Amino acid sequence: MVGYLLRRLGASVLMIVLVSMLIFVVLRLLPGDPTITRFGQQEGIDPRTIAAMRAQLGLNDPIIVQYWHWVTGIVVHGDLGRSYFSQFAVGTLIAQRLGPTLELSVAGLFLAVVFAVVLAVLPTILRGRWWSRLVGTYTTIGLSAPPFVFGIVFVALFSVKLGWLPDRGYVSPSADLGGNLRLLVLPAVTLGLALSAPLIRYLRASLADVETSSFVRTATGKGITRSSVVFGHVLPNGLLPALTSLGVSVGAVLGGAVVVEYVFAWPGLGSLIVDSVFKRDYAVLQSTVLLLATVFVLVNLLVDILYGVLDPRLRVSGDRR
Amino acid sequence: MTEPLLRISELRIGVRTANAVRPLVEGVDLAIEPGQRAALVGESGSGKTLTALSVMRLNPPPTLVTGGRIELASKDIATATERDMVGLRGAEMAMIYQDPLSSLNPVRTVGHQLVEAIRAHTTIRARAAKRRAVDLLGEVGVPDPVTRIDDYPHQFSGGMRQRVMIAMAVSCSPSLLIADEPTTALDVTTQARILDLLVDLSDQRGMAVLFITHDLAIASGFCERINVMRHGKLVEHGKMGTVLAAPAHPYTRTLLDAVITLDAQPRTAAVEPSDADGPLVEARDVVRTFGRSVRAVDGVSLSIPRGGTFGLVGESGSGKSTLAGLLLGLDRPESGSVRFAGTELATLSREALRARRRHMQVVLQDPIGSLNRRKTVAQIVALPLAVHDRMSRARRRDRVAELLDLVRLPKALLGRYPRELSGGQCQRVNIARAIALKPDFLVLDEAVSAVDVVIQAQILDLLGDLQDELGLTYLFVSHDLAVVRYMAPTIAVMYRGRIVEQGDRADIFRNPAHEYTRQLIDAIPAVELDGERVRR
Amino acid sequence: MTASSPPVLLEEPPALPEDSGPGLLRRYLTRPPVIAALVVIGVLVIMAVIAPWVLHSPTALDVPDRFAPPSGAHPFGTDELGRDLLSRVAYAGRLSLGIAFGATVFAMVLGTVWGMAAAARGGWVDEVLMRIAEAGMAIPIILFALVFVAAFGADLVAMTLITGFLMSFLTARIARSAVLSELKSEYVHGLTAVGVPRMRILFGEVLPNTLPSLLAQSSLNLATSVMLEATLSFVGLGVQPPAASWGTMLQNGYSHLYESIWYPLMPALVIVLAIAALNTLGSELQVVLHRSAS
Repeated sequence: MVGYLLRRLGASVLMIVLVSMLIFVVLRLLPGDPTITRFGQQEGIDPRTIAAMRAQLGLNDPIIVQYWHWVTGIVVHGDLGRSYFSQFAVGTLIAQRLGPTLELSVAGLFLAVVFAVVLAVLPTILRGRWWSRLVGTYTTIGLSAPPFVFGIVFVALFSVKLGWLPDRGYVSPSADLGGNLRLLVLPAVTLGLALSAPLIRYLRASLADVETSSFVRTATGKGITRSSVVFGHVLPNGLLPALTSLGVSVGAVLGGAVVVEYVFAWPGLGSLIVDSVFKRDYAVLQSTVLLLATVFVLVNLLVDILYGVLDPRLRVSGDRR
Repeated sequence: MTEPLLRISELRIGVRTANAVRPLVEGVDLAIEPGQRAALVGESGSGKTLTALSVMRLNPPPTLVTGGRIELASKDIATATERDMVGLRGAEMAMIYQDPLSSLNPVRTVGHQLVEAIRAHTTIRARAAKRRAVDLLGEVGVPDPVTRIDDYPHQFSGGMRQRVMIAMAVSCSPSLLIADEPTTALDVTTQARILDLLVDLSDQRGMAVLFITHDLAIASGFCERINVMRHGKLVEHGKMGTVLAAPAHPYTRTLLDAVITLDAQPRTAAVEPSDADGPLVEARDVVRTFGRSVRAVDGVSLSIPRGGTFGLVGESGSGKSTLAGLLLGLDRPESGSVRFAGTELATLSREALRARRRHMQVVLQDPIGSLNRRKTVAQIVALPLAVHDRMSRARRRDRVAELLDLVRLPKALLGRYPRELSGGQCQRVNIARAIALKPDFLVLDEAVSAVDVVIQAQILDLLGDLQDELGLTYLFVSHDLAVVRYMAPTIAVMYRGRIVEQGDRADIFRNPAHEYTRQLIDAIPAVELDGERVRR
Repeated sequence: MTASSPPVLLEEPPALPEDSGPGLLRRYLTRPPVIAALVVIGVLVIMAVIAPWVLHSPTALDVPDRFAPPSGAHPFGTDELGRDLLSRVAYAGRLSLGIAFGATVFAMVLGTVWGMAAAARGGWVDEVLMRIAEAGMAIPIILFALVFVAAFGADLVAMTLITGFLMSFLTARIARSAVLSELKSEYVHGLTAVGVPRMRILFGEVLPNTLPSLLAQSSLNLATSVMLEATLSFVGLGVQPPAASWGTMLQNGYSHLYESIWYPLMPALVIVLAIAALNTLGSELQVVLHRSAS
């Protein structure tokens, strides 16, 4: 078990290093000059100023040296770099945006899990064809609509037509909790719906798989009631592999949040990323994306560990004979 | 005659397809008296498992009972409510299955699953139920039941798992136990011990058993009555001794003839093997290790004369397939030497080795899986010709037709795909491909293990004929000692990577030197003609 | 042990012919969801091709009639300049579907070579290639797309290649596992024993067998790239005006939501339909393949 944990941890660290290299190399491949973002396309900038700027940003160093500075900056000093555009520390920019993104992601993920568990487990318990079809249709639509399409439909319906909820914006919960929650409803539901569809599909496949397995037949053959079969045998085995898909969902949350934040003018990390792409602000972009990727990798590590704890086949090894 | 415990009459089962119900079982009648052991014998696809499952009403959708009656102690199963069934299952009848690993919940301890079964039909407290569970585990022969009760299914060996399943099945003293191929997935030596346990339990408790099997020999030693099924119909039933002494239906006759027992007259090759120009295949002190410490093949030496048949027997995991791969040069040993026709295989370049493959071929266990599913029979058989021989299209076509003749397959099958063939036909295609290049040496790696017993007999006949006609040298690998004895005059017994015994078959059977060989010989079931008493 | 019985008589009946490889296509194409999906895709493609000749010109202005709701004259309504939305949606399909198709072909070729090399070589080659693919999938695809767009811009070729490259990670993994499961199967073992050269086994036997599952993945890739294009264009980082794709229409529509709720809803509807149809084609193929394998 300890060996397994160490191996998984090592693999995760390696993954993060690889991801950081990928981001860094891709962003350095471009022919343009990042100092342009600073000075714009203005005429008459002294070439010496640009040269000084380049030297200051370390852009004249070989790419490996630049990468080394970036990584050691993060690991040793906790320094995520400095925005090319605004000269703010990237760490400060991220800190400002972290709260709203966390709020939206947690709310969205929570709703997604609730929707998914209810909608996937219900047909198993109720065993109705009708239920099963309804959930199937919901899943098909959910899988086909990009997250922001739900958002547009909701805004069209609840803000424009009915005027029940505000269409965009953000206030800090410490300033106005009620207002914050009212603004949270639409983006959170949008995210939750979009994320629940793949979760439901995965859960249903997993439950259907378990439903036809031999050990469920054995359990039924013992003469225990249907509900004992479902809660004692089908669900524990069917929900276990769904943990993995939950880990994948976290990635989808992070990706989905980018666009959903854009739709609802929610000032989170997603908007920060989109902004920095517009401004070609690579310093901000590379650190923010790396942060999100790291979160994703770590969540999946956590899921794996949890899986190892919950599944006796991984927890207790060995055929004692 | 006493009132039967289970009576099945005119049972029909079908499977729901898109727009119809396709019949799978068409009119089965069967009766078991209390305490009686009855066999339901048939090949794969005969409908025997489906019949058994429908007694428990556990037949998986989309299969459904379309007609007939099933009565257990005069209660009609067909009209029983689901709540009635919950009361009957486990208490009145219980079932054990072929694969005990997948039949046990992997995330619950065996104790939990046993207690659940016990408490389903009794009102005793959890602590008492757990004590009962420990007793039961002890009764079915699980050593150290007090600690093992908290283990998970994956921590048990195959045989022990089946014992757990049996403990669970008998926990509420049902009057009927349905055993669906309970020993098929186990090694032969384990198989015999599980059957002994079932006999004891059935005798002590007066529990009737419906024993489903494809193996007539096992059925004959275990059951008093026999029912033979084929293609969804019951073709014969009666007292075991009577039926086996004089089968009324030709299918039962064929089934009986196909069983290879220790009394069977072994096959004799038409041509004597010759060692004149040295052995064709020779291995010396061959070692092959996997991972850090698993010695799959641990210092094996053997030699096979040209034209001979060398039998290699051992249970799964004994290293016999690894050894076969080494002899074929598909894998290289860490140490030791493998020579084919005098040439050391390890010294050959990859190309030279590949060219040499035309002289040594293999037929594997899974008849259908060994064939590319998207190629026709003609393409499959022609491939080795295309790779090794430059011949015209027309000549290749002629040769393929010739090969199909050799393996007794009609030419109408040339354009078919593997899935459109039966298992036996597929294995014939595999043989045709293997002999296409007129090899000297043919490895038969469990080549008849995955087919039904009647087909097995036919394939063995074919292999014998081919050896006589083409002068082939065989390495016959199998877990089934009776079959190996039938085919091979020289036998090696492999156990945990080593050959523990090797020599002439008559000597080995008369005087087994190794304990494991003795166990293997004892485990071979004999067809019992006197069905009253169980002899093992 | 006798050989008295005629050999073929006692063979068990063969499996039904419809379970075989060649029957696969027919069984796939006769499934109702597949037919529906093909109709949807067909209509979208045909409309994209013939739109300018049959429908209103997508550039014909009719300013007084702007933001019109759906009507007989304009089934999808009109936009902020009074242009016909149906013909604009149809026309925008050229870009959206074109990018998706190009990206999918690129992903299929790159991913197959990638995955096959990993599976066939094994060892450290496999390890390195698959670690790279995993790292690529460790970043949510939309985030990664943003990084690439930042680096390379968003002209059509770049969008196509970026989308294709990002999908090739998953495609490579699918291709690898498909090739690997073939390589592990007994028939490949048999072919090796027969002495068929490795390359011939790989390209002559294994690759054709993995094609159906790669096609299924490609169909899902098409759906992903339609979604990705729409997303990037919607946030303004994809197709740049005046070129029109479904994503840019959505963006324009969303900014005029208070003038006409139909304006964003119509392209949204088309996007959902297209993705649903493509997803269906892919997952139905997977279902058919799965059934024929078991």
